[in-house]
Amino acid sequence: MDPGSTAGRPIASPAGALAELPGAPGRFATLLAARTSTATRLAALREKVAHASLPDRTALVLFGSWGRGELTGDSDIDWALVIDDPELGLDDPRVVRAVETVRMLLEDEGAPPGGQQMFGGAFHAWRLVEHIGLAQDDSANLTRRMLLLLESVAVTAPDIHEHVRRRVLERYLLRQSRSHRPPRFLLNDIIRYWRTIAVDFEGKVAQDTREGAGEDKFVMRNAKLRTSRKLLYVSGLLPVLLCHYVRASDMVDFLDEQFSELATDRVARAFLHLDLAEPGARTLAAYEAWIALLSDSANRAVLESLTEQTHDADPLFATVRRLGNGLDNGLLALLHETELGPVTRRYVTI
Amino acid sequence: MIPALAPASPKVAGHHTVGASTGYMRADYGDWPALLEQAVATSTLAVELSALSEPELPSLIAFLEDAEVLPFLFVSVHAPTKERRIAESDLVELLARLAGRVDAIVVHPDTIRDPRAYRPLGSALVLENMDARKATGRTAAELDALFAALPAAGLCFDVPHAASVDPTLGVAREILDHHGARLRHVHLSSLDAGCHHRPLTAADEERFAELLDRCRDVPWILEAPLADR
Repeated sequence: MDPGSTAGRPIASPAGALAELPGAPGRFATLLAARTSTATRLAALREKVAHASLPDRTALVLFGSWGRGELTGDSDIDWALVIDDPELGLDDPRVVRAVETVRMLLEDEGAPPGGQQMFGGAFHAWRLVEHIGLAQDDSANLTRRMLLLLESVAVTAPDIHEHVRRRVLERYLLRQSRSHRPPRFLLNDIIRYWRTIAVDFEGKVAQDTREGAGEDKFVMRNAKLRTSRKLLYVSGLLPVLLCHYVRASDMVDFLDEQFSELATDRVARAFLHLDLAEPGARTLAAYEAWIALLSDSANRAVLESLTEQTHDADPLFATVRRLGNGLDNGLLALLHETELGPVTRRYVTI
Repeated sequence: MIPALAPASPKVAGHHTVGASTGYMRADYGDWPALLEQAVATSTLAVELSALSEPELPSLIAFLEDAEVLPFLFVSVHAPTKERRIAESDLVELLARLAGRVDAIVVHPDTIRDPRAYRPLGSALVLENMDARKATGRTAAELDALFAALPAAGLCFDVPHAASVDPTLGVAREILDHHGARLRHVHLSSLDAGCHHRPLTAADEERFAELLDRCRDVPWILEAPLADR
Protein backbone atom coordinates (compact mmCIF):
# COMPACT_ATOMS: atom_id res chain seq x y z
CA MET A 1 0.00 0.00 0.00
CA ASP A 2 1.22 3.44 -0.89
CA PRO A 3 1.50 5.78 2.09
CA GLY A 4 0.72 8.57 -0.36
CA SER A 5 -2.69 7.05 -1.09
CA THR A 6 -6.06 8.51 -0.11
CA ALA A 7 -5.72 7.32 3.45
CA GLY A 8 -2.15 8.59 3.42
CA ARG A 9 -3.33 12.16 3.98
CA PRO A 10 -2.39 13.64 7.39
CA ILE A 11 -4.15 11.90 10.25
CA ALA A 12 -6.07 14.36 12.41
CA SER A 13 -5.81 14.21 16.18
CA PRO A 14 -8.22 11.67 17.67
CA ALA A 15 -9.62 14.38 19.99
CA GLY A 16 -13.39 14.59 19.59
CA ALA A 17 -13.56 12.00 16.78
CA LEU A 18 -16.46 10.09 18.35
CA ALA A 19 -18.62 13.19 18.06
CA GLU A 20 -17.76 13.42 14.33
CA LEU A 21 -19.31 10.04 13.47
CA PRO A 22 -22.71 9.93 11.72
CA GLY A 23 -25.58 10.20 14.19
CA ALA A 24 -23.53 11.94 16.88
CA PRO A 25 -24.11 13.25 19.44
CA GLY A 26 -27.46 11.49 20.01
CA ARG A 27 -26.23 8.08 18.96
CA PHE A 28 -23.43 8.22 21.54
CA ALA A 29 -25.34 9.96 24.30
CA THR A 30 -24.26 7.54 27.04
CA LEU A 31 -20.58 7.63 26.10
CA LEU A 32 -20.54 11.41 25.77
CA ALA A 33 -22.41 11.83 29.06
CA ALA A 34 -19.96 9.45 30.75
CA ARG A 35 -17.09 11.62 29.49
CA THR A 36 -18.68 14.70 31.00
CA SER A 37 -19.39 12.93 34.26
CA THR A 38 -15.82 11.57 34.39
CA ALA A 39 -14.41 15.06 33.79
CA THR A 40 -16.62 16.52 36.53
CA ARG A 41 -15.66 13.87 39.04
CA LEU A 42 -12.01 14.18 38.06
CA ALA A 43 -12.11 17.93 38.67
CA ALA A 44 -13.67 17.31 42.09
CA LEU A 45 -11.04 14.69 42.85
CA ARG A 46 -8.26 17.08 41.89
CA GLU A 47 -9.61 19.58 44.40
CA LYS A 48 -9.87 16.88 47.03
CA VAL A 49 -6.23 15.83 46.69
CA ALA A 50 -4.89 19.33 46.04
CA HIS A 51 -3.81 19.75 49.63
CA ALA A 52 -2.49 16.24 50.10
CA SER A 53 1.23 16.27 50.55
CA LEU A 54 2.52 14.00 47.80
CA PRO A 55 6.29 13.67 47.31
CA ASP A 56 7.96 15.61 44.49
CA ARG A 57 8.32 13.81 41.16
CA THR A 58 5.27 11.64 41.74
CA ALA A 59 1.92 11.67 39.97
CA LEU A 60 -1.38 10.26 41.14
CA VAL A 61 -2.76 8.44 38.10
CA LEU A 62 -6.12 6.74 37.49
CA PHE A 63 -6.64 3.81 35.15
CA GLY A 64 -9.63 1.80 33.85
CA SER A 65 -12.95 3.53 33.24
CA TRP A 66 -11.58 6.80 34.68
CA GLY A 67 -8.83 6.71 32.06
CA ARG A 68 -11.29 5.82 29.30
CA GLY A 69 -13.70 8.60 30.32
CA GLU A 70 -16.40 5.98 30.81
CA LEU A 71 -17.35 6.28 34.46
CA THR A 72 -20.62 4.64 35.38
CA GLY A 73 -22.25 4.49 38.80
CA ASP A 74 -20.54 1.30 39.89
CA SER A 75 -17.06 1.88 38.48
CA ASP A 76 -13.98 0.77 40.41
CA ILE A 77 -11.20 3.21 41.07
CA ASP A 78 -7.85 1.83 39.96
CA TRP A 79 -5.18 4.28 41.05
CA ALA A 80 -1.43 4.39 41.47
CA LEU A 81 1.19 6.79 42.71
CA VAL A 82 3.68 6.82 39.84
CA ILE A 83 7.17 7.68 41.07
CA ASP A 84 9.46 9.32 38.55
CA ASP A 85 12.43 9.49 40.94
CA PRO A 86 14.57 6.34 40.99
CA GLU A 87 16.11 7.44 44.32
CA LEU A 88 12.76 7.53 46.08
CA GLY A 89 12.15 4.02 47.45
CA LEU A 90 8.75 2.40 47.74
CA ASP A 91 9.42 2.00 51.47
CA ASP A 92 10.41 5.63 51.93
CA PRO A 93 8.22 7.05 54.73
CA ARG A 94 7.09 9.88 52.40
CA VAL A 95 5.82 7.34 49.88
CA VAL A 96 4.21 5.12 52.52
CA ARG A 97 2.43 8.17 53.99
CA ALA A 98 1.35 9.38 50.55
CA VAL A 99 -0.12 5.99 49.62
CA GLU A 100 -2.04 5.87 52.89
CA THR A 101 -3.33 9.42 52.37
CA VAL A 102 -4.46 8.67 48.81
CA ARG A 103 -6.14 5.45 49.90
CA MET A 104 -8.16 7.37 52.49
CA LEU A 105 -9.01 10.19 50.10
CA LEU A 106 -10.24 7.82 47.39
CA GLU A 107 -12.20 5.57 49.72
CA ASP A 108 -15.55 7.06 48.72
CA GLU A 109 -14.83 7.35 45.00
CA GLY A 110 -15.48 3.76 43.96
CA ALA A 111 -14.65 0.17 44.73
CA PRO A 112 -10.93 -0.22 45.52
CA PRO A 113 -8.58 -1.94 43.07
CA GLY A 114 -8.91 -5.73 42.71
CA GLY A 115 -6.82 -8.32 44.46
CA GLN A 116 -3.88 -8.60 42.06
CA GLN A 117 -1.91 -5.73 43.64
CA MET A 118 -1.30 -4.00 40.33
CA PHE A 119 -2.90 -0.78 41.50
CA GLY A 120 -3.80 0.85 44.81
CA GLY A 121 -0.18 1.60 45.68
CA ALA A 122 3.01 3.09 44.32
CA PHE A 123 5.34 1.96 41.55
CA HIS A 124 8.41 3.31 39.80
CA ALA A 125 8.14 4.71 36.30
CA TRP A 126 11.66 3.54 35.45
CA ARG A 127 10.57 -0.09 35.76
CA LEU A 128 7.98 0.47 33.02
CA VAL A 129 10.67 1.87 30.75
CA GLU A 130 13.65 -0.32 31.57
CA HIS A 131 11.96 -3.68 32.12
CA ILE A 132 10.26 -4.49 28.87
CA GLY A 133 10.42 -8.21 28.23
CA LEU A 134 12.18 -10.97 30.16
CA ALA A 135 11.36 -12.17 33.67
CA GLN A 136 11.40 -8.78 35.36
CA ASP A 137 8.60 -7.61 33.11
CA ASP A 138 6.04 -9.47 35.17
CA SER A 139 2.30 -9.35 34.68
CA ALA A 140 1.93 -6.29 36.96
CA ASN A 141 4.64 -4.35 35.11
CA LEU A 142 3.20 -5.20 31.70
CA THR A 143 -0.33 -4.29 32.80
CA ARG A 144 0.77 -0.98 34.34
CA ARG A 145 2.77 0.00 31.26
CA MET A 146 0.00 -0.91 28.84
CA LEU A 147 -2.75 0.76 30.82
CA LEU A 148 -0.59 3.87 31.25
CA LEU A 149 -0.50 4.05 27.45
CA LEU A 150 -4.03 2.93 26.70
CA GLU A 151 -6.28 4.20 29.49
CA SER A 152 -4.84 6.51 32.12
CA VAL A 153 -5.39 10.03 33.36
CA ALA A 154 -3.45 12.13 35.84
CA VAL A 155 -5.10 13.49 38.97
CA THR A 156 -1.95 15.34 39.99
CA ALA A 157 1.20 16.27 38.12
CA PRO A 158 -0.05 15.79 34.53
CA ASP A 159 3.40 16.83 33.30
CA ILE A 160 4.96 13.80 35.00
CA HIS A 161 2.27 11.51 33.63
CA GLU A 162 2.87 12.82 30.09
CA HIS A 163 6.63 12.62 30.53
CA VAL A 164 6.46 8.96 31.61
CA ARG A 165 4.16 8.05 28.71
CA ARG A 166 6.56 9.74 26.31
CA ARG A 167 9.57 7.92 27.77
CA VAL A 168 7.79 4.58 27.39
CA LEU A 169 7.08 5.35 23.73
CA GLU A 170 10.65 6.51 23.13
CA ARG A 171 11.95 3.28 24.63
CA TYR A 172 9.86 1.23 22.19
CA LEU A 173 11.13 3.26 19.26
CA LEU A 174 14.75 3.58 20.41
CA ARG A 175 16.16 0.91 18.13
CA GLN A 176 13.33 0.57 15.64
CA SER A 177 11.99 3.62 13.98
CA ARG A 178 11.77 3.61 10.24
CA SER A 179 9.51 5.73 8.13
CA HIS A 180 6.22 4.05 7.22
CA ARG A 181 7.00 0.94 9.25
CA PRO A 182 4.73 0.20 12.21
CA PRO A 183 7.10 -0.25 15.18
CA ARG A 184 7.10 -3.97 15.86
CA PHE A 185 8.45 -3.79 19.42
CA LEU A 186 5.47 -1.74 20.57
CA LEU A 187 3.08 -3.70 18.35
CA ASN A 188 4.24 -7.01 19.81
CA ASP A 189 3.86 -5.74 23.37
CA ILE A 190 0.29 -4.55 22.75
CA ILE A 191 -0.58 -7.88 21.16
CA ARG A 192 1.15 -9.68 24.05
CA TYR A 193 -0.91 -7.72 26.57
CA TRP A 194 -4.21 -8.59 24.86
CA ARG A 195 -3.27 -12.26 24.57
CA THR A 196 -2.18 -12.25 28.22
CA ILE A 197 -5.57 -10.93 29.32
CA ALA A 198 -7.33 -13.59 27.23
CA VAL A 199 -5.12 -16.39 28.57
CA ASP A 200 -5.42 -15.11 32.14
CA PHE A 201 -9.21 -15.24 31.76
CA GLU A 202 -8.98 -19.02 31.46
CA GLY A 203 -6.43 -19.11 34.28
CA LYS A 204 -8.82 -17.23 36.56
CA VAL A 205 -11.66 -19.63 35.68
CA ALA A 206 -9.49 -22.59 36.62
CA GLN A 207 -8.26 -20.85 39.78
CA ASP A 208 -11.80 -19.96 40.91
CA THR A 209 -12.88 -23.57 40.31
CA ARG A 210 -9.94 -24.94 42.33
CA GLU A 211 -10.47 -22.52 45.17
CA GLY A 212 -14.27 -22.83 45.12
CA ALA A 213 -14.67 -19.04 44.87
CA GLY A 214 -18.04 -18.00 46.27
CA GLU A 215 -18.48 -15.23 43.73
CA ASP A 216 -18.69 -16.32 40.11
CA LYS A 217 -17.01 -13.61 38.03
CA PHE A 218 -16.93 -15.65 34.83
CA VAL A 219 -19.77 -13.84 33.07
CA MET A 220 -18.72 -10.27 33.83
CA ARG A 221 -15.12 -11.03 32.85
CA ASN A 222 -16.33 -12.73 29.69
CA ALA A 223 -18.61 -9.78 28.84
CA LYS A 224 -15.78 -7.27 29.36
CA LEU A 225 -13.42 -9.31 27.18
CA ARG A 226 -15.98 -9.20 24.37
CA THR A 227 -16.44 -5.43 24.71
CA SER A 228 -14.31 -3.01 26.75
CA ARG A 229 -11.10 -5.07 26.72
CA LYS A 230 -11.35 -5.77 22.99
CA LEU A 231 -12.01 -2.14 22.13
CA LEU A 232 -9.07 -1.09 24.28
CA TYR A 233 -6.79 -3.57 22.53
CA VAL A 234 -7.73 -2.35 19.06
CA SER A 235 -7.43 1.25 20.26
CA GLY A 236 -3.78 0.40 20.93
CA LEU A 237 -3.26 -1.57 17.76
CA LEU A 238 -4.59 1.14 15.42
CA PRO A 239 -2.14 3.96 16.22
CA VAL A 240 0.75 1.55 15.73
CA LEU A 241 -0.57 0.30 12.38
CA LEU A 242 -1.32 3.87 11.31
CA CYS A 243 2.42 4.53 11.64
CA HIS A 244 2.43 3.12 8.13
CA TYR A 245 1.55 6.66 7.09
CA VAL A 246 4.08 8.37 9.35
CA ARG A 247 7.73 9.35 8.88
CA ALA A 248 10.25 8.11 11.45
CA SER A 249 11.01 11.64 12.61
CA ASP A 250 7.32 12.20 13.47
CA MET A 251 6.54 8.80 14.94
CA VAL A 252 6.97 9.49 18.68
CA ASP A 253 4.96 12.70 18.39
CA PHE A 254 2.26 10.90 16.42
CA LEU A 255 1.96 8.06 18.91
CA ASP A 256 2.11 10.45 21.86
CA GLU A 257 -0.78 12.46 20.42
CA GLN A 258 -2.80 9.32 19.75
CA PHE A 259 -2.27 7.84 23.21
CA SER A 260 -3.04 11.12 24.94
CA GLU A 261 -6.65 10.84 23.72
CA LEU A 262 -9.49 8.52 24.72
CA ALA A 263 -9.67 4.96 23.37
CA THR A 264 -13.08 5.51 21.74
CA ASP A 265 -11.76 8.63 19.99
CA ARG A 266 -8.70 6.73 18.71
CA VAL A 267 -10.94 4.07 17.19
CA ALA A 268 -13.43 6.61 15.82
CA ARG A 269 -10.60 8.60 14.21
CA ALA A 270 -9.31 5.48 12.45
CA PHE A 271 -12.77 4.70 11.05
CA LEU A 272 -13.12 8.29 9.81
CA HIS A 273 -9.61 8.43 8.38
CA LEU A 274 -10.06 5.18 6.49
CA ASP A 275 -13.42 6.28 5.00
CA LEU A 276 -15.52 3.82 6.95
CA ALA A 277 -17.64 6.34 8.84
CA GLU A 278 -20.99 4.56 8.57
CA PRO A 279 -19.76 1.12 9.69
CA GLY A 280 -17.66 2.95 12.30
CA ALA A 281 -20.73 4.63 13.74
CA ARG A 282 -22.52 1.26 14.01
CA THR A 283 -19.47 -0.32 15.62
CA LEU A 284 -19.16 2.36 18.25
CA ALA A 285 -22.94 2.36 18.71
CA ALA A 286 -22.61 -1.28 19.76
CA TYR A 287 -20.04 -0.16 22.32
CA GLU A 288 -22.34 2.69 23.39
CA ALA A 289 -25.11 0.13 23.95
CA TRP A 290 -22.76 -1.96 26.10
CA ILE A 291 -21.84 1.03 28.27
CA ALA A 292 -25.55 1.98 28.56
CA LEU A 293 -26.37 -1.58 29.56
CA LEU A 294 -23.61 -1.58 32.16
CA SER A 295 -24.70 1.79 33.54
CA ASP A 296 -27.96 0.23 34.65
CA SER A 297 -27.37 -1.36 38.04
CA ALA A 298 -30.21 -3.85 37.46
CA ASN A 299 -28.46 -5.16 34.33
CA ARG A 300 -25.16 -5.32 36.17
CA ALA A 301 -26.84 -7.32 38.95
CA VAL A 302 -28.25 -9.79 36.41
CA LEU A 303 -24.86 -10.28 34.76
CA GLU A 304 -23.21 -10.73 38.17
CA SER A 305 -25.80 -13.33 39.12
CA LEU A 306 -25.17 -15.48 36.04
CA THR A 307 -22.71 -18.36 36.05
CA GLU A 308 -20.75 -20.21 33.41
CA GLN A 309 -23.55 -22.79 33.40
CA THR A 310 -26.50 -20.39 33.20
CA HIS A 311 -25.26 -17.50 31.04
CA ASP A 312 -25.70 -19.09 27.62
CA ALA A 313 -29.50 -19.16 27.74
CA ASP A 314 -29.90 -15.75 29.38
CA PRO A 315 -31.49 -13.06 27.17
CA LEU A 316 -29.40 -10.24 28.64
CA PHE A 317 -26.21 -12.16 27.97
CA ALA A 318 -27.48 -12.87 24.44
CA THR A 319 -27.70 -9.10 23.99
CA VAL A 320 -24.14 -8.70 25.30
CA ARG A 321 -22.98 -11.41 22.89
CA ARG A 322 -24.75 -9.62 20.03
CA LEU A 323 -23.13 -6.29 20.94
CA GLY A 324 -19.74 -7.98 21.24
CA ASN A 325 -20.17 -9.54 17.79
CA GLY A 326 -21.16 -6.16 16.36
CA LEU A 327 -18.01 -4.65 17.80
CA ASP A 328 -15.93 -7.56 16.53
CA ASN A 329 -17.25 -7.35 12.99
CA GLY A 330 -16.79 -3.60 12.76
CA LEU A 331 -13.23 -3.76 14.03
CA LEU A 332 -12.45 -6.61 11.62
CA ALA A 333 -13.78 -4.54 8.74
CA LEU A 334 -11.62 -1.62 9.81
CA LEU A 335 -8.48 -3.72 10.16
CA HIS A 336 -8.95 -5.91 7.09
CA GLU A 337 -11.28 -4.28 4.58
CA THR A 338 -9.80 -0.81 4.30
CA GLU A 339 -6.45 0.44 3.06
CA LEU A 340 -5.09 -0.77 6.38
CA GLY A 341 -5.81 -4.41 5.38
CA PRO A 342 -2.41 -5.20 3.84
CA VAL A 343 -0.63 -3.58 6.81
CA THR A 344 -2.68 -5.64 9.27
CA ARG A 345 -1.94 -8.79 7.29
CA ARG A 346 1.76 -8.02 7.02
CA TYR A 347 2.44 -6.88 10.58
CA VAL A 348 -0.13 -8.49 12.86
CA THR A 349 -0.32 -12.02 11.53
CA ILE A 350 3.32 -13.03 11.98
CA MET B 1 -10.90 -15.53 2.81
CA ILE B 2 -13.52 -18.26 2.38
CA PRO B 3 -11.78 -20.83 0.12
CA ALA B 4 -15.01 -22.33 -1.22
CA LEU B 5 -16.12 -18.93 -2.49
CA ALA B 6 -12.83 -17.59 -3.80
CA PRO B 7 -13.06 -18.97 -7.38
CA ALA B 8 -16.44 -17.28 -7.79
CA SER B 9 -15.73 -13.96 -6.17
CA PRO B 10 -12.52 -13.01 -4.36
CA LYS B 11 -14.26 -9.85 -3.15
CA VAL B 12 -17.14 -11.68 -1.48
CA ALA B 13 -14.83 -14.43 -0.25
CA GLY B 14 -12.58 -11.78 1.30
CA HIS B 15 -15.31 -10.28 3.49
CA HIS B 16 -14.69 -11.08 7.14
CA THR B 17 -17.97 -12.93 7.74
CA VAL B 18 -19.77 -14.63 4.86
CA GLY B 19 -22.06 -17.64 4.97
CA ALA B 20 -24.79 -19.53 3.18
CA SER B 21 -28.52 -19.56 3.64
CA THR B 22 -29.95 -23.07 3.80
CA GLY B 23 -32.93 -21.61 1.91
CA TYR B 24 -31.34 -22.48 -1.43
CA MET B 25 -30.52 -26.08 -0.47
CA ARG B 26 -33.93 -27.36 -1.51
CA ALA B 27 -33.06 -31.05 -1.87
CA ASP B 28 -32.53 -31.38 1.86
CA TYR B 29 -35.36 -29.23 3.24
CA GLY B 30 -36.20 -30.33 6.76
CA ASP B 31 -33.05 -32.45 7.17
CA TRP B 32 -31.17 -30.02 9.42
CA PRO B 33 -27.98 -32.08 9.91
CA ALA B 34 -27.65 -32.44 6.13
CA LEU B 35 -28.33 -28.73 5.59
CA LEU B 36 -25.78 -27.85 8.23
CA GLU B 37 -23.20 -30.02 6.51
CA GLN B 38 -23.78 -28.18 3.23
CA ALA B 39 -23.61 -24.81 4.93
CA VAL B 40 -20.32 -25.75 6.61
CA ALA B 41 -18.91 -26.72 3.22
CA THR B 42 -19.56 -23.16 2.08
CA SER B 43 -18.40 -21.34 5.19
CA THR B 44 -17.88 -22.13 8.85
CA LEU B 45 -18.18 -18.46 9.79
CA ALA B 46 -21.87 -17.71 9.24
CA VAL B 47 -25.12 -19.40 8.36
CA GLU B 48 -28.78 -18.60 7.96
CA LEU B 49 -31.02 -21.51 8.88
CA SER B 50 -34.10 -21.01 6.82
CA ALA B 51 -37.52 -22.30 7.91
CA LEU B 52 -39.40 -20.62 5.10
CA SER B 53 -42.38 -22.95 5.45
CA GLU B 54 -44.03 -22.95 8.82
CA PRO B 55 -44.02 -26.78 9.18
CA GLU B 56 -40.20 -26.65 9.10
CA LEU B 57 -39.96 -24.44 12.18
CA PRO B 58 -40.65 -26.96 14.99
CA SER B 59 -37.95 -29.33 13.72
CA LEU B 60 -35.48 -26.42 13.43
CA ILE B 61 -36.20 -25.36 17.00
CA ALA B 62 -35.79 -28.92 18.24
CA PHE B 63 -32.55 -29.22 16.26
CA LEU B 64 -31.12 -26.00 17.70
CA GLU B 65 -32.21 -26.83 21.24
CA ASP B 66 -30.52 -30.22 21.06
CA ALA B 67 -27.51 -29.25 18.97
CA GLU B 68 -24.06 -28.94 20.39
CA VAL B 69 -22.70 -25.45 19.92
CA LEU B 70 -22.59 -24.79 16.17
CA PRO B 71 -19.25 -23.91 14.58
CA PHE B 72 -20.51 -20.63 13.08
CA LEU B 73 -19.69 -17.24 14.58
CA PHE B 74 -22.97 -15.85 13.26
CA VAL B 75 -26.23 -17.77 13.14
CA SER B 76 -29.49 -16.31 11.91
CA VAL B 77 -32.84 -18.02 11.52
CA HIS B 78 -35.28 -17.08 8.78
CA ALA B 79 -38.84 -17.13 10.12
CA PRO B 80 -41.62 -18.75 8.06
CA THR B 81 -43.15 -16.84 5.19
CA LYS B 82 -45.15 -19.68 3.62
CA GLU B 83 -47.78 -22.17 4.76
CA ARG B 84 -48.61 -19.94 7.71
CA ARG B 85 -51.29 -21.54 9.86
CA ILE B 86 -50.70 -20.90 13.54
CA ALA B 87 -51.65 -17.66 15.27
CA GLU B 88 -49.09 -14.87 15.14
CA SER B 89 -48.65 -14.91 18.92
CA ASP B 90 -47.97 -18.65 18.85
CA LEU B 91 -45.41 -18.17 16.10
CA VAL B 92 -43.64 -15.47 18.10
CA GLU B 93 -43.68 -17.74 21.15
CA LEU B 94 -41.93 -20.42 19.11
CA LEU B 95 -39.40 -17.96 17.69
CA ALA B 96 -38.73 -16.55 21.16
CA ARG B 97 -37.30 -19.94 22.16
CA LEU B 98 -34.48 -19.17 19.72
CA ALA B 99 -33.89 -15.54 20.71
CA GLY B 100 -31.14 -16.35 23.19
CA ARG B 101 -29.52 -18.96 20.95
CA VAL B 102 -29.07 -17.16 17.64
CA ASP B 103 -27.78 -13.78 16.52
CA ALA B 104 -30.80 -12.79 14.46
CA ILE B 105 -34.32 -13.90 13.58
CA VAL B 106 -35.31 -12.63 10.13
CA VAL B 107 -38.96 -11.73 9.62
CA HIS B 108 -40.59 -10.48 6.42
CA PRO B 109 -42.62 -7.29 6.98
CA ASP B 110 -45.44 -8.50 4.72
CA THR B 111 -46.05 -11.46 7.06
CA ILE B 112 -46.53 -9.21 10.09
CA ARG B 113 -50.09 -8.40 11.14
CA ASP B 114 -49.54 -6.91 14.58
CA PRO B 115 -46.00 -5.56 14.93
CA ARG B 116 -46.28 -5.33 18.72
CA ALA B 117 -46.69 -9.11 18.88
CA TYR B 118 -43.01 -9.41 17.89
CA ARG B 119 -41.66 -7.34 20.78
CA PRO B 120 -40.75 -10.42 22.86
CA LEU B 121 -38.02 -11.14 20.29
CA GLY B 122 -36.25 -7.93 21.38
CA SER B 123 -32.99 -7.19 19.60
CA ALA B 124 -32.88 -10.71 18.11
CA LEU B 125 -35.57 -9.61 15.64
CA VAL B 126 -34.43 -8.24 12.28
CA LEU B 127 -36.78 -7.06 9.55
CA GLU B 128 -35.89 -7.69 5.92
CA ASN B 129 -36.69 -5.19 3.18
CA MET B 130 -38.96 -6.72 0.55
CA ASP B 131 -38.75 -7.15 -3.21
CA ALA B 132 -40.84 -5.44 -5.88
CA ARG B 133 -43.55 -8.16 -5.88
CA LYS B 134 -44.57 -7.44 -2.30
CA ALA B 135 -47.11 -4.90 -1.16
CA THR B 136 -45.14 -3.47 1.73
CA GLY B 137 -41.76 -3.38 3.49
CA ARG B 138 -40.01 -2.40 0.25
CA THR B 139 -38.77 1.10 0.96
CA ALA B 140 -37.42 3.15 3.83
CA ALA B 141 -40.79 4.82 4.23
CA GLU B 142 -42.65 1.51 4.29
CA LEU B 143 -40.33 0.21 6.98
CA ASP B 144 -40.76 3.33 9.15
CA ALA B 145 -43.95 2.28 10.93
CA LEU B 146 -42.64 -1.19 11.69
CA PHE B 147 -39.42 0.09 13.20
CA ALA B 148 -41.38 2.66 15.18
CA ALA B 149 -43.43 -0.17 16.68
CA LEU B 150 -40.37 -2.37 17.19
CA PRO B 151 -37.62 -0.04 18.43
CA ALA B 152 -35.22 -2.85 19.35
CA ALA B 153 -35.46 -4.54 15.95
CA GLY B 154 -32.56 -4.59 13.51
CA LEU B 155 -32.41 -4.47 9.71
CA CYS B 156 -31.53 -7.34 7.40
CA PHE B 157 -30.64 -5.48 4.22
CA ASP B 158 -31.51 -7.57 1.17
CA VAL B 159 -29.52 -5.86 -1.57
CA PRO B 160 -31.20 -7.43 -4.64
CA HIS B 161 -34.65 -6.91 -3.13
CA ALA B 162 -33.98 -3.17 -2.91
CA ALA B 163 -32.52 -3.19 -6.43
CA SER B 164 -35.65 -4.90 -7.75
CA VAL B 165 -37.78 -2.04 -6.41
CA ASP B 166 -35.53 0.59 -7.95
CA PRO B 167 -32.81 -0.49 -10.39
CA THR B 168 -31.11 2.91 -9.97
CA LEU B 169 -30.45 1.80 -6.37
CA GLY B 170 -31.99 4.98 -5.01
CA VAL B 171 -34.34 2.97 -2.78
CA ALA B 172 -31.42 0.89 -1.55
CA ARG B 173 -29.46 4.01 -0.62
CA GLU B 174 -32.49 5.45 1.16
CA ILE B 175 -32.96 2.30 3.21
CA LEU B 176 -29.34 2.55 4.39
CA ASP B 177 -29.63 6.32 4.89
CA HIS B 178 -32.75 6.01 7.05
CA HIS B 179 -32.38 2.65 8.76
CA GLY B 180 -28.66 1.90 8.42
CA ALA B 181 -28.13 2.41 12.14
CA ARG B 182 -30.14 -0.80 12.64
CA LEU B 183 -28.18 -2.86 10.09
CA ARG B 184 -27.29 -6.31 11.42
CA HIS B 185 -26.68 -8.39 8.31
CA VAL B 186 -26.95 -8.48 4.54
CA HIS B 187 -28.66 -10.83 2.10
CA LEU B 188 -26.72 -11.10 -1.12
CA SER B 189 -27.56 -12.65 -4.51
CA SER B 190 -28.91 -11.66 -7.88
CA LEU B 191 -32.59 -12.04 -8.79
CA ASP B 192 -34.31 -13.40 -11.89
CA ALA B 193 -37.26 -11.71 -13.56
CA GLY B 194 -39.63 -13.33 -11.08
CA CYS B 195 -37.57 -12.04 -8.12
CA HIS B 196 -36.20 -15.49 -7.29
CA HIS B 197 -32.71 -15.60 -5.84
CA ARG B 198 -30.02 -16.54 -8.33
CA PRO B 199 -26.21 -16.70 -8.02
CA LEU B 200 -24.65 -13.26 -7.73
CA THR B 201 -23.50 -12.17 -11.17
CA ALA B 202 -20.29 -10.26 -11.79
CA ALA B 203 -22.35 -7.35 -13.10
CA ASP B 204 -24.49 -7.20 -9.96
CA GLU B 205 -21.45 -7.53 -7.74
CA GLU B 206 -20.04 -4.43 -9.39
CA ARG B 207 -23.40 -2.63 -9.29
CA PHE B 208 -23.87 -3.41 -5.59
CA ALA B 209 -20.29 -2.54 -4.59
CA GLU B 210 -21.13 0.97 -3.31
CA LEU B 211 -23.87 -0.51 -1.09
CA LEU B 212 -21.72 -3.36 0.16
CA ASP B 213 -18.99 -0.89 1.06
CA ARG B 214 -21.47 0.69 3.46
CA CYS B 215 -22.15 -2.72 5.01
CA ARG B 216 -18.60 -3.92 5.67
CA ASP B 217 -19.16 -4.32 9.39
CA VAL B 218 -21.89 -6.97 9.22
CA PRO B 219 -22.13 -10.60 8.03
CA TRP B 220 -23.15 -11.24 4.44
CA ILE B 221 -25.47 -14.19 3.82
CA LEU B 222 -25.62 -15.68 0.34
CA GLU B 223 -29.18 -16.53 -0.68
CA ALA B 224 -27.99 -18.44 -3.72
CA PRO B 225 -24.74 -20.34 -4.21
CA LEU B 226 -21.90 -18.40 -5.78
CA ALA B 227 -21.28 -19.91 -9.19
CA ASP B 228 -17.71 -20.07 -10.50
CA ARG B 229 -17.30 -17.37 -13.12
